[in-house]
Amino acid sequence: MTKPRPGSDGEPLPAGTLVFRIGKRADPSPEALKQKKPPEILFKPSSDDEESPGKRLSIWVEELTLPDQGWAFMGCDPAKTMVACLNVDAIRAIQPPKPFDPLGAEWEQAMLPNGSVNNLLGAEGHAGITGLLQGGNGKMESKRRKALRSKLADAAEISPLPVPHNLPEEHLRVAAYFIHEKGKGSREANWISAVRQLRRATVQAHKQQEEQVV
Amino acid sequence: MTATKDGPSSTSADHSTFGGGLNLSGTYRAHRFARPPKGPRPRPIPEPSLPSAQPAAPPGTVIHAKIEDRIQFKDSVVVIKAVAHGATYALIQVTDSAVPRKEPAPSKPRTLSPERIARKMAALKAFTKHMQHREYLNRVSTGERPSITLETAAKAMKAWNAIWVASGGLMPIPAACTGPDGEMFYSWDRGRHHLELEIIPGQSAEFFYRDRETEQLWAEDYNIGEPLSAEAIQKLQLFR
Repeated sequence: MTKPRPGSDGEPLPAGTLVFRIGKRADPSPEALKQKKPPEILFKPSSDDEESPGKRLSIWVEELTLPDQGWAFMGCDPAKTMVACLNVDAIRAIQPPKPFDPLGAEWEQAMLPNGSVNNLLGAEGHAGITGLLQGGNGKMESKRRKALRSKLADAAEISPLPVPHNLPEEHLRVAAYFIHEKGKGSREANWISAVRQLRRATVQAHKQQEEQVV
Repeated sequence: MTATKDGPSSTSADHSTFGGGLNLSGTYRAHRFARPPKGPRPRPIPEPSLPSAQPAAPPGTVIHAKIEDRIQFKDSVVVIKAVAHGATYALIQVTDSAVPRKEPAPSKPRTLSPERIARKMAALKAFTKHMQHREYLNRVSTGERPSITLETAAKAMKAWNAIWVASGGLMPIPAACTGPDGEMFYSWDRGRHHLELEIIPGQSAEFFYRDRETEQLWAEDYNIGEPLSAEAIQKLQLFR
């Protein structure tokens, strides 16, 4: 997959983009891990999301931001460990309950907890899901919003790797060395590439293992 | 045995030196009726000495020989019984001899129908998952930074038990997850049907159902500990 070019705030994400959301205090049961389905609460906008100008649910573009980087930008909270992955196409394909509008996925300027613009490496992958705060305060409206989140949860998958990653450092060193041998990027960029590649390899290995079991 | 106002007393016929235990007629004499013997304690009669070796058993004869010995320890007599080494060997020799042993008639093998095996396996699987779920609730509600309180974990377990019973024991174990504010989320998925139970600290729990095909939505508050509503039970039937 080609690396998407970071867009300006409010611009739609390119079709087929893989994104992830980091969950707060989401501790799944063995059964939930087996089903790989996150709870709908993971897609409930936080108070920060609600107060943001775009009123979007914070997500990150997988090609531009590592889950570990996203986790670090969010304050390295040990309670935030679950990563749910989904495709932008699946988000846009969700049928909203009438009379709600469809969900969208847009670029969003990343901010630091102190309110300043985040220009750190990896922050360019910040984006947001729109349309999760539609409707009023009534019970029916609340039910519709919940239905939207439930559909998002259907489209998402829990990553077998939490944040921060638990990849062996030795493996990362070897991967980073081979990336360095190819002669591109700084030491930090090589290390990030190593984490990304090993994350993907681990997810792939998990999928293959599951297929073998089935 | 004669009876007195204090209860039955022993006579020479059922004399037991140390009180309590079995009398000669084989009936049990309660300890409270026991009377200490009057006069000096009788000396124990020495047992006859044991033969040093057992005679070899003639072929084809099974001998169950025992060594018996008694020792006196304070107010008790300890009887030691053991099978004599020689006799054991004789027994092995006899059983290993060419004389064909009479094999017991083979019992009819206990066969289970495939349906019954499947039912048993399903029950075992459900029990294992139930135990896993209990362990999970215990893990998330204890430790240094528990995701939920012990009270929420107990409420969750209570709700799950009520759901399981209401479904006739056929409801699958929920996919559970904790929430950011100490909530517990249970969810069940079966094809088009999706059901959730949100257990919120300090509030009543909430059921949420969604039909993926018809887009039907249903939600209902549930006070854990109270009986489930007819509509909630109806929804449970969709996941059996």
